[in-house]
Amino acid sequence: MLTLENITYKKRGQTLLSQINGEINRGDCVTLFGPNGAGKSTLIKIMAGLVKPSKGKRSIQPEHKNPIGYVPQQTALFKGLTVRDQIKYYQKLTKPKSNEFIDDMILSLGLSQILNKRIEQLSGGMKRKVNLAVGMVHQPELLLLDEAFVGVDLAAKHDMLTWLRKLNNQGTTIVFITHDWYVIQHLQPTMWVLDHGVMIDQVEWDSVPYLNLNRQSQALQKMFDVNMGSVR
Amino acid sequence: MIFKILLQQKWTLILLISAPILFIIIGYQFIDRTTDDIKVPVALVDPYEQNITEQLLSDMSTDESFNITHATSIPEEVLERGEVEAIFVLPEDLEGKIRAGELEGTIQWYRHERSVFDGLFKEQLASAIMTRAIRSEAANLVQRYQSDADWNEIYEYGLRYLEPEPIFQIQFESVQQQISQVNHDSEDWLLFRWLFWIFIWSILAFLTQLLLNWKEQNIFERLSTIGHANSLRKAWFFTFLVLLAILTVFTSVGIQTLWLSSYNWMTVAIDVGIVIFSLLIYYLLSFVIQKRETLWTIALTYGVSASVVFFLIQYNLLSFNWWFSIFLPSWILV
Ligand SMILES: Nc1ncnc2c1ncn2[C@@H]1O[C@H](COP(=O)(O)OP(=O)(O)OP(=O)(O)O)[C@@H](O)[C@H]1O
Ligand SMILES: [Mg+2]
Repeated sequence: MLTLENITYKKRGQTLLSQINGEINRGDCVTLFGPNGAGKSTLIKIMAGLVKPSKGKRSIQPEHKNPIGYVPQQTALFKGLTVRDQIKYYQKLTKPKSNEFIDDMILSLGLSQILNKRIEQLSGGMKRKVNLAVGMVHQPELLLLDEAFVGVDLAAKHDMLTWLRKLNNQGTTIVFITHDWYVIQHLQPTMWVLDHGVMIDQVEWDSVPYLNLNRQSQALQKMFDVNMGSVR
Repeated sequence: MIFKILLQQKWTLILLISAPILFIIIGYQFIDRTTDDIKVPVALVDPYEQNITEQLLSDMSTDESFNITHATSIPEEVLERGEVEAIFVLPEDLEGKIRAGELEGTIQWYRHERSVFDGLFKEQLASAIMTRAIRSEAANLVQRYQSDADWNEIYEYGLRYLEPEPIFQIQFESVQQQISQVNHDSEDWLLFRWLFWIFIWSILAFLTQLLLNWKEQNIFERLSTIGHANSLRKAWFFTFLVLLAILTVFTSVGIQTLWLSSYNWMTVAIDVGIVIFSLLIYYLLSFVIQKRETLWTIALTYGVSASVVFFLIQYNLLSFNWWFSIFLPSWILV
């Protein structure tokens, strides 16, 4: 579905990503994992086609028009518009096949009560939910989520994750970035481990407990050790 | 839907839409105030400094509607500049001529093609002279039959002796004068068109902030992943293009009608052109600018320098140069 070959990205003389290779197949669930500034957001933008790599090739084999659903790290929503209108706007632009999907999404994410509220009347966590919903209106084949769960309470996070898992089981490909171990545990993704713009490892969820990163990066190893207690 | 999105800055839009009404009302007040104390400027020239000139002036009830310059030589350059509507030149020994009844072709009346109200002054002057002529004719008649009568006494009561019907036709010799194109009255309406541009220019800066906000919020990124990279930008551009064009047509026609009591489609087209180019400048800037501060710095710098150039040309301190046309308001002066 998506192939990255030797992706290198430079900006102002700095190499932000170097020699990234990877392949994502239909129905995969992948997380980009790594410390702040590792280059995760940059890589996911390259996947979305928003940023052109300086070197290397990104290719995508979609089944339909508009295959990508991108949810940016910042909440990208129109001020002054109600939640309903935000969704409607993207609905008009992309003309999705079914409204059933949207109704289902609104229900699963618990947006029914806030449909008539304007964005500035929402709390941070609610905005996150709307931000996710707006990126999925057109029922994308490949969902790219950049820290979509920041500031969302556990109950809401549970709603979001349950919905995403259901989609993933139905064949939607998901790539997400998070620092939240709860999210990772719930979605059990393949982990692409990044540090300083370099892909250190790609591990299946099952082999994560046996991952030894000490040689490459102590900081990364610490991130795993802190979180791994529950898994090991 | 797109209108709901563009309507975010409610007050800016309200201000924008009320612009024509605002400008026409202010313009109307402005005009109203200035016409109140407008007097028709005329010059009365008496090269021989005769006493009768003063008497004629006091005979006429012209204080309210005329602004009379009393001179001893013909100030033609004043007429050429359009500072007076007309010049009337009195002949030598006017009093003698009145007494003798020899008034044919004696007063010269200079005017230019735009003189309108000077005819009223002509009537006043004619009637003042005529009254005196009638009285002296009466005195002449009486004295012819009654040589011991006092001429001055009869003159004073002349009107009682004689039917006040015109005996003499005063000839006003009309001299058409070519005046140069500068019309000082028109400055105000040029100023209003400049003011309208400044107004639109500032409002556009606010509206461009919308684009920068969307850029900052990554909305364009989101849109470009679904193949609509520029649809929102274009919607912004074309919506305000239509809105501004309509508003400008109304305002331009309004301002022109107020000042010139008619309008010229060419001028309307120039005004619309200026506004559309302003919109285009902001639209293109929105692609390169990232920060709001940059937007405001550019808006302010351009607005001020374009206005300075406008005023320098307007007051003839700078001669028009083709490259000034990069400063949009200078188009007003074309
Ligand atoms: N516009 C930019 N210009 C120059 N450098 C940038 C720019 N944006 C990001 N960077 C740099 O690129 C590197 C990677 O940034 P990126 O946002 O991809 O990190 P990240 O892994 O998403 O971090 P985080 O977990 O904090 O979101 C960082 O070192 C950052 O300083
Ligand atoms: Mg990031």
